[in-house]
Amino acid sequence: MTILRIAWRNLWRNPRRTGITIFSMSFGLTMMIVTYALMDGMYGQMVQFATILGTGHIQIHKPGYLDDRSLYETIDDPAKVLRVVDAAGEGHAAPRTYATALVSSGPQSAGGYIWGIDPLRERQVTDFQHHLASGAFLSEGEKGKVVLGHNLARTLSVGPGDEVVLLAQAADGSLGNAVFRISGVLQSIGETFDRTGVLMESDDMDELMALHGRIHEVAVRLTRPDRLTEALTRYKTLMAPMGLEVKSWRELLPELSEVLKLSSTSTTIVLFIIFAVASLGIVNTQLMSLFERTREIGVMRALGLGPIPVAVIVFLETIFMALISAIAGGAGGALWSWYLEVHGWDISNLGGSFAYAGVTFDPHLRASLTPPAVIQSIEIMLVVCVLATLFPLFKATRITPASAVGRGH
Amino acid sequence: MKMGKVAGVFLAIFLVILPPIIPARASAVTSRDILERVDDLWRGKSSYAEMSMNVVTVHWKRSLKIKAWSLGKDYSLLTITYPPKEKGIATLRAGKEIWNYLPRVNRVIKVPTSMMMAGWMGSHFTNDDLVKESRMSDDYDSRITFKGEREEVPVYEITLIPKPDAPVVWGKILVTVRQDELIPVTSLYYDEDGNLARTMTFSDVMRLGGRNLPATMALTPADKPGERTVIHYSVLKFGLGLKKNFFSIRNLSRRDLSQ
Repeated sequence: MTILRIAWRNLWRNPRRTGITIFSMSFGLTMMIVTYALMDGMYGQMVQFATILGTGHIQIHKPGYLDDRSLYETIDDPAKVLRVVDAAGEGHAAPRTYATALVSSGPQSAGGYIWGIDPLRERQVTDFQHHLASGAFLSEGEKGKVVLGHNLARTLSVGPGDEVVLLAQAADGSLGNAVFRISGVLQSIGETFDRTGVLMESDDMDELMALHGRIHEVAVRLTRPDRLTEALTRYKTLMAPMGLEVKSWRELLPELSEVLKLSSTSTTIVLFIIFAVASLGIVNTQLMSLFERTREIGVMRALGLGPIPVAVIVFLETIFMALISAIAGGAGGALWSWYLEVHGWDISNLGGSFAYAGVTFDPHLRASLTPPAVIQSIEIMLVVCVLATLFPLFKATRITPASAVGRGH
Repeated sequence: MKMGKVAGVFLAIFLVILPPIIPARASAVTSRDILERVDDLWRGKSSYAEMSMNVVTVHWKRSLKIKAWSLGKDYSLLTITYPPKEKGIATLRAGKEIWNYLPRVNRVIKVPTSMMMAGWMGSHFTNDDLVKESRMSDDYDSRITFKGEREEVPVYEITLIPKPDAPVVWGKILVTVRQDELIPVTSLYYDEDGNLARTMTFSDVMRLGGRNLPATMALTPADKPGERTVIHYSVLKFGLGLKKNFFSIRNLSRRDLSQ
């Protein structure tokens, strides 16, 4: 108890120096938390963009479909798959059919990649309907309409209300062809989709491609995206009897997945660097106060205090400062991150909308404040503090009564 | 004695005349001549043909009946007469461009460059094949690389290597032609890495349009075992006096063409 009190009192012997140290530690911690939350937010946005604008969290296919996306590698009983996925209750599911086609309007034509979708279900899995540049999204039961990708519409110089002809080799070898009216045009959401994407109602697609109810994919959006691994295992078990393959977005978007894997490491490194700089202040404070108190410590040693209690006092001083900083910096970082989470950070003036790993981003960066952002930052701070205090600690144990008192101050 | 002299004179004449004759015969038949002959076999100044096309793939089989008109090297018009679902679909080729007419949507669509390698009407013939149909002697350097018997038939084997800047997809084509009537037997298409990509076989030589030519052509892709497209000519007429204006986009949609 006495030692605790001595340590506490020592801190306030030079309030300015202690104050500056606490301030720099708190500020360092705040920056760590904000950086952590911003990076988390950015990666979260990347995943969200990639999953809600196409992939979904989990996809179900016939094994081998993803290798060459053949028109004939189909799920033959989509109703059953949807029933099982719905019953599992992990999220929403949407059936999809894909085909390459020629999209043509007047003298212009371009290669297209058609998505045959169930508008009602697709709305719950992807977020296309909120990324329209013009016009309206497909609605259930409304036949003969398509929604086009951003650049495709531009290449064909068409917009909502115009007609396009779709030409494709159907599953029976015949030349599928039909006229569709453009219902809407999407915003830029990703390089490939922008250039080739065509969304149409699954019934229209079925007729055009002569698929007789067969589909290529069931995409799932999880209610709890953080439970990806558990949901994946669950679906794998459910789909195994039907001979279907289940993959998560991590496998479906390996590029993005790699970036993310790398990112958590890089976040930790960045945090360490931020705080390592702040920790120089701690080393400095402790060495200075030690130097100032050499004589005093010498007296304490002369009165019978061993080297260990002296070290404990110095250590406790650091811990006190670290705890005060943890509270102040933690609160500051959390508040700032929360502000950036609610209001976002418009980085469009730093270069407009941008794409990373093939995903187009909203230039409105949003932080994501999670308990790990605060806890992990504090942990890193404490580790760095302890490391920073090792040297002053070592110095403190080396002070002997004779050398200290004999210095003649 | 006199007879011997006469024979001697004849022999001398033969010896003088003969040597020039043999090289002359050899150089008379150049690879280019053969190719142009082959190219022109199915085509006069103008032509009309009726044919069936059978396509077999791993996933489906189908039969089409087609009527085709051509004028010179640059114009052709094809229209499907059967099955009913596709009746009236027509393709016009003018030079390097291809248009398709779709009766169901009543539209004419120009085939973009990106679709030139796609199959024509689900067959193994690409749109590009329609365009390149008769340009072998323009786009390739050729030479006779074999002369002799193959399966007891005397043939020429001609190797075609694309000219340095020719816009072609093949790395090499081997054409085998029967020596007697210069009728093609096979064409082997190799890709740029030298692998066989597809084989065309010609058979059923018969008299069509006053010429002897193979009525059946079978195309088999090397990478899709079991798949093939077979075209069989049932009618072929030459010298119809067709005019250029027959090969117009407007004519593509004429209903009577597919009757």
